Amino acid sequence: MLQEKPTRRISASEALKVATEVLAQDEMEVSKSTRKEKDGPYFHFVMEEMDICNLPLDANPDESVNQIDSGIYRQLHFVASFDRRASLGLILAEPGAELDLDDEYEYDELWLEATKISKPGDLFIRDIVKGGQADIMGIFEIGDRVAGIDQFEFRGFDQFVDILGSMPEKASSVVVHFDRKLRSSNAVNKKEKPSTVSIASHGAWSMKGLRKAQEDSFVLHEFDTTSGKVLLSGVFDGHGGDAASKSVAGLLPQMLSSEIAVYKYDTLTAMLENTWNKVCESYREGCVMLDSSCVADYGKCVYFNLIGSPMHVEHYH
Amino acid sequence: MLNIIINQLDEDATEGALFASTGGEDLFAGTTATIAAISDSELTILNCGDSRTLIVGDPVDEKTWVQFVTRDHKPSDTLEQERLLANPDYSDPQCSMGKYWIKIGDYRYTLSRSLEGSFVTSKGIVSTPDVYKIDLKDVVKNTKSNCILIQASDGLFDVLDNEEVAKDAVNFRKAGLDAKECASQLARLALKKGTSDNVSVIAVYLD
Repeated sequence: MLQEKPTRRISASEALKVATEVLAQDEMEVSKSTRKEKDGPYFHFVMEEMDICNLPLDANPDESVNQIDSGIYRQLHFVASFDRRASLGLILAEPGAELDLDDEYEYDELWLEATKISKPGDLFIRDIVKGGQADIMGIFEIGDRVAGIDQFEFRGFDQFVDILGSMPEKASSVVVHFDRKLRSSNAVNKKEKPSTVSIASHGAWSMKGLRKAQEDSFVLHEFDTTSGKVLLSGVFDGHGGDAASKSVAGLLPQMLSSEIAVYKYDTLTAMLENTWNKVCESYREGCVMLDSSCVADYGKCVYFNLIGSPMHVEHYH
Repeated sequence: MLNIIINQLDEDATEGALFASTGGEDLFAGTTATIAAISDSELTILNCGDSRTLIVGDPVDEKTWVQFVTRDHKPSDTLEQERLLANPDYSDPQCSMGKYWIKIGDYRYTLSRSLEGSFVTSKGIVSTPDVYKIDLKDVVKNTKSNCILIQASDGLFDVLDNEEVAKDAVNFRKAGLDAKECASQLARLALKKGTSDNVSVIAVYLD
């Protein structure tokens, strides 16, 4: 299925046939009810994975470039889908709430930093349960704020639990939005260099509205560069499915990160423009090379989108 | 299969791609992009398509709340028309009943730049962005206070004009809402005003 040339890739209808076959095989092995339970989070996982393509650095042996110390980015707004039947594996708390935790709580500093500026009703990650769903995903930090659940906003822990409980019976997974603060200590920067402009607060919100499908996408990331922090934000309005908007939202931060690592001394403007052009090329070529294999198959993305939610695969033969 | 595809894609004049009466099977998903990168006091904005980036704030001269706005790449834009007409390979913009579009293959596009598949790109819907480099110090100086960077998809701007968005955003900030709440309130406002499109909003408060 993962052919580098779009013309050699199988068509959507062929892919559907394959998917149907795979699902039918599964059905023979395990009973339908247990399979369904597994499929929901799994398909969400596949969908999310498809948006994240690991990109190789532009290999340049002449320059000793360390990818680790430069170009690292943190996602400032992210979405996670949890299996609804299991516990989230997160300990959530409102600032100031008393919790029965070990006396020597190792994350106190992170927690205090994150909740320093907060409002009543804000809900933060106080701790991550070892081996729980969230721990396995490995994307959470202490002090991340819960921004919303599905398409709903909420105030306070009780309302969060209410909304969680009122999700439709059939839903096997629940989508939760998180955001986190910039690491850069703006307050310190401001004192040292009173002329610089600082970011006081940032945030994003996306709604499906009256449309049947959400085709918009956005990014909100913080990058470490040798000359300080960079905030990257962008809105992508997709049409004809969300393959393009999701691909760009996934590729742009990764490619900019590579760009920053390789061309340390170039201007941000040049790096951003270069990255955008690379993203466009990659998208049009339909795949991104990694060890001469294709890691992002947009044909497949489109295929999933054309038939609506991936959960519907089995209905259309 | 085709039925399903048509159901999924709403026929809407404000959307990028429209189905012609026949409908085709080669629709390739596309996307507009409006991207901002902020470091220290340097701001770079990349814009391709009809999403927008705005810089707003309390006005110094009490005239306008909008300090900066990107140019929409639509077939109705004169510069875009010139660009499309200059290249013989490109499809020409057309207009009827006050609505502009570009017909490519089986589809009508109501934007003139965006990231598309190779065929549509070769017909003039290119992904070349407008690039803006802005010294944020000047911008923040020009606004008395409450400087905000707003990025949103056309779902917001279909129902609210730049000034309305700017004024509302500044008022939200003054009322003590944080940036996420400001973004979500703007999205909600667009929905209340009857937008039929997806709405995505990013707000960044600048000091």
